[in-house]
Amino acid sequence: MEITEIFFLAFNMLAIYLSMIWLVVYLSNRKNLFRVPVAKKIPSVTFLVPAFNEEKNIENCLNHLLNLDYPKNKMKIIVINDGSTDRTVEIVKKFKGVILLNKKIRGGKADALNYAIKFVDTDLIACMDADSFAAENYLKRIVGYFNDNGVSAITSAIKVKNLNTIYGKIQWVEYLVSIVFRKLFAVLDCQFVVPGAGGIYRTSVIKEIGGFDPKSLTEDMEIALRMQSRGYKIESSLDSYVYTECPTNFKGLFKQRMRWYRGYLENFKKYFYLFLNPKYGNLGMFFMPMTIVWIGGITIMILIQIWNYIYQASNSLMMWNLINNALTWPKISFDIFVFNIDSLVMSVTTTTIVVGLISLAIGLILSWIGIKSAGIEKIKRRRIFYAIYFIIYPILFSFFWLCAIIMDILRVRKKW
Amino acid sequence: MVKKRINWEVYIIAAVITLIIFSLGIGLGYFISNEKYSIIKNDLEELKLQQKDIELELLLTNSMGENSCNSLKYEIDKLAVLSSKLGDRVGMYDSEMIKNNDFYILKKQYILTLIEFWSYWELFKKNCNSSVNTVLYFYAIKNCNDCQAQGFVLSFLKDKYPDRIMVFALDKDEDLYSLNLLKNMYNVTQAPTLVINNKKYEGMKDMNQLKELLVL
Repeated sequence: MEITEIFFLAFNMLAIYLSMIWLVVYLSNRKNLFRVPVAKKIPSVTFLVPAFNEEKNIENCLNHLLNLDYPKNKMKIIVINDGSTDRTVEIVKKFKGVILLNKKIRGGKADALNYAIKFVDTDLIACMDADSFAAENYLKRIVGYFNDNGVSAITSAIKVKNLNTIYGKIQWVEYLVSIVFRKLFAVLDCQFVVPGAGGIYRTSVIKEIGGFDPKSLTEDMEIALRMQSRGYKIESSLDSYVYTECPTNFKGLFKQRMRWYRGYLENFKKYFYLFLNPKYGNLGMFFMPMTIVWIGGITIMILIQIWNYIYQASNSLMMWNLINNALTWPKISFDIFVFNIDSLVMSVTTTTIVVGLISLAIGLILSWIGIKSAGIEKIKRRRIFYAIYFIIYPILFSFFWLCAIIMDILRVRKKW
Repeated sequence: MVKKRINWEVYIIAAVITLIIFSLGIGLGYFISNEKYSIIKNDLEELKLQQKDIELELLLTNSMGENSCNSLKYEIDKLAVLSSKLGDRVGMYDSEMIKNNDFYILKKQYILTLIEFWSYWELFKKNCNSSVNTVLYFYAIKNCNDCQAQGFVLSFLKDKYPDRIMVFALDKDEDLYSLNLLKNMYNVTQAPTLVINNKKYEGMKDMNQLKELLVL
């Protein structure tokens, strides 16, 4: 038995274990997950919309906010113009009831939000990216979670709005799956990020902990971990939908993921004291250590795979050369011995394949639950998206992680 | 600060389920692997039976002085197909993670059968004046970088000239008297070693070299 095979089995066992944890959490809370709490007292909300050159999207975003099903006297909208050079300001000025804060010099999203927080006098702060828009009942469905005084923030249910490219389709599924996972994270109280598209905060808590960190690559993750480290709880809503725009080409996606995943690493370093500290509950004892092990495992897996492919390719070339480059076809036979694929570096044997197939099936089930929970009507027609996602996403995801880790090791300059 | 709860029960339940699933997976792998073992066992029985048949035929032909080379050739070809298929399967099963405890006996039996086959083959060649090339291929599983490539080239040639070459692939590290005798006969010390029509060639031979050594 080769070392790579032992590693492969261990990796699959970890994958099955992690899946089982979330499956247990899902099954044991099945009924509560979909219960939407009604707010005891309708809280006042200020929307903060940071905008940098958003002339294409801002109008749609503001129209949807103004159209929200919520008492108008309980709602304020502030657009923070972060040094835009296009028509953003001009467009925003047309909207009545929208407050415009102008920042001449661009300082980034966290900086823009902090600037606006000073002017907020409502109970809650809702962040809304300018390239996103909220569903009509978004606020009504989300504010009820603040009935619990220990709750400091709530994540929204984010969906992708631009599906026209293959990257859009993959991310559409990814975002759907994330919705239910975020909810499960909340059940175990280990929410570690409040995405900027519809993430909603208790104003008193934000002011108490000193607002967003402008130095962080992913300020939405940094603030979530800061809240967690102070003992606050972050809830999650399954059906307060916000539609966001995702990158549509490889370059854009790569840039976004490098920021996210490097932000991940950065924040895990910053909040390293949470690790294995029982004071911080599931997040410290289980979630953060497991995430590190998981990401490490994925990285090693992809390295083994890359090595495997290189080795195989060179080996095949060498063999091909030995028979004077004559054309041959691989012999295919259909009996159980086909199960035995000797791929040189990783000699995959029956047991490994069976275990691999099992963990694949569990992964399929888990993400299918995610999609089903997101309440999509067109799911049948979009099954093909799911297939594409399942084939491409793991490769893409592990590739991005590998790049992020390499960039971090090489200390490539972090940028937004 | 409110102390946060740790849901140990979730982790324990998940661990138990994981262990059950994992052992089911290993169990299923074991079951399939065992299934392969019994297939190999059956194949070997069949091979032995047919070989016995040919052995008797050879014996009878010799004592009665009758010429039955044509029918013998047909049967030996059939046997060769069976034997090489079984050889592939034995090799594949050998790399399994979980093997039947009795596999090593099966492997030895297979090698013995192969050597036996080789001896009848030599007899047949002599009696019937066959000009088919005989290749004894001594390989090793451990510490042999070229064995895989050598096996690949041999099977390619065998596919290309099915009627001209007869290959007997033997694991040189198995401990069997008859195998040791063969090894001593040709003074085989390393792998890969090829014995082509009773002449020994050490080291890796590519297709061009083999084509020169074989009578095609």
